[in-house]
Amino acid sequence: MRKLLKSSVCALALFVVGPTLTIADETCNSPYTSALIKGQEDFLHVWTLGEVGVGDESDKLVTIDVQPNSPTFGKVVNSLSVGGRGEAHHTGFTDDRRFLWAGRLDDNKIFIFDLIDPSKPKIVKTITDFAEKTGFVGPHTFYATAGRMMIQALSNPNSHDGQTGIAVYNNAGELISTHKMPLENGGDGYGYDIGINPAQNVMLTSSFTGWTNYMMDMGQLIKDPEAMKRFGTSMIMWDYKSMKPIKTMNVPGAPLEIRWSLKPEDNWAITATALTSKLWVVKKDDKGEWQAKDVGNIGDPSKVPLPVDISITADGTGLWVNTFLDGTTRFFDLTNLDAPKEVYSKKMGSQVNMVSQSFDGKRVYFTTSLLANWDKKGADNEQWLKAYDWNGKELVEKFSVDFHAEKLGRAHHMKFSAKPTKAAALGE
Amino acid sequence: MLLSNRPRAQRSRCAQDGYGILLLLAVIFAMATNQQTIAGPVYPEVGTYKLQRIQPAPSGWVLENSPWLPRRLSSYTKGKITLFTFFYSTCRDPDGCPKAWEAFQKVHASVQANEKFHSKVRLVFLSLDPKVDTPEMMSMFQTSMSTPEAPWSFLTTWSESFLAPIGNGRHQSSHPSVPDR
Repeated sequence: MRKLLKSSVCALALFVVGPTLTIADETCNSPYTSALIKGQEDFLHVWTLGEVGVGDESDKLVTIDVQPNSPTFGKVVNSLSVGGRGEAHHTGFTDDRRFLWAGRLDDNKIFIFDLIDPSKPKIVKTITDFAEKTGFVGPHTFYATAGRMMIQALSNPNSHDGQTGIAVYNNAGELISTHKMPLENGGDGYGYDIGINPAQNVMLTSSFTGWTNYMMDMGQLIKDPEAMKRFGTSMIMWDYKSMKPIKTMNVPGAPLEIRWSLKPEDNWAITATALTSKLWVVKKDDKGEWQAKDVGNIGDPSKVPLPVDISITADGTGLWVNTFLDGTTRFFDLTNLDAPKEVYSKKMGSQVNMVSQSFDGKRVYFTTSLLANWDKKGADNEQWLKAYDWNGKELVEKFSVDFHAEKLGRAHHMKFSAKPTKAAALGE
Repeated sequence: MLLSNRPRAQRSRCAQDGYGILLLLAVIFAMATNQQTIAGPVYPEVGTYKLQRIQPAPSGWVLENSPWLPRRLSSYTKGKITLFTFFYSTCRDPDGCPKAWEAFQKVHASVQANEKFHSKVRLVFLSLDPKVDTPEMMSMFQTSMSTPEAPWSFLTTWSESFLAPIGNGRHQSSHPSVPDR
């Protein structure tokens, strides 16, 4: 391998001029993900957990037509089963947006889908040795950087607690490096999400819990006081270039999703804490030091609504926050960042987890599943995708897909794609 | 500054395997772009961190100046620190293209102004649009931008079928996606 490397010149391609390097998302992609969909998305891909007694019971990537002008609008147009159930969870595009990486938190398998034809994703590679190669388990966040995929894990194969790290793969699916979450200077070693702000050369990480907890039945978990102590309480600011932690910030209650403001001149990030039901903002103080600040409650924290996914508007003035246990989505006005204000809420169903909005904020999609063993039981175990228009005042439902009636499973992470707009120059 | 602190044998090895290339590249970029303020970014000291080896550069055939003289891409990536990117001359993306051009111009000016980088660094643009960006067109860019101290090559290919393996070899193809629709 070394000989191979020595005989090859590592020419560094800084960027491809063509697809735009944009600090944006629809609206949670890595800033290194190109080909942003600023208009109407064509397809929605839902990484779906297989469920006993539902269809083929296998995890699958479900593709739904979301183009309003299409005759199959609102319908499932493809379902690609990957075999078995391994706690399918999150996905992430490569920087060129051609490939979608999708992970499973239990068996640690990572599936790489080719979206050259977004209506019919194909599996091109399956990584089966993540735990052996990295020393981590629970590949959670898939975050593209230039030519690489950064994977934030949740746990480790020895103690199965929250001590974990970040693995970096190249786009060919080969491991490049590993980075343990810090235990020094107040670090708890836990991990969950990644958010990079290239303009500041910083990477922000959050913290959740280990395999033992996230695979435990939720009813059992909340009755176990010792287990409830084993949740993350920190956010780490890293020097991104050197991948060295520069500050540990105390953010109790399991800070989860990280969203940097997409407004170019902004340099702040926001997160929600699952157990304490709060919004926290991370930004520099007057001395240039990064600080995390509790800026308000989400619902009534005493009722433990369990905030889960969040989605920030492209202009950084609004934030969708889902609270799982009461099945409610809430829209916060972020105009006053020191005191975000809930200005709208809607009961979505018995449970709601993920939320994804279009870049223009006009369309918002919701799904239900959190974790197989944390989802509600019986009739409350609703599993659906619901698509809405957002007019700034209310959500107007456009269509829904019942994932049980369609024999698909538990609907989890969503990503958008669009049909090609020109003939393939490369890759065909 | 960076390589001079290493033993000669080690310097040679680094230069061969590309590791030194990436580190020295960081020096150049730091010189060209690094402005640290309280509100702005903070960068680590050059040489205090490790740049990742992502993957070997792909192979392929390219054209410079003449459509009749194909050259291996490797002849533009070996032996010197290489700052390489894809481009196309008709790009109208206001967010990407001017920034890319500006970044390369900054680096080019830094190399030109700093004698210790002379003959050690090259810049390479490879067109994504061989139909429009002919060797003749590329040679116009090259004539206006390249200098003996800081060579800047503008390359193209015979056709997209010659371009494809270069892009795919980097696992970063410009597939028919959705440019800001």
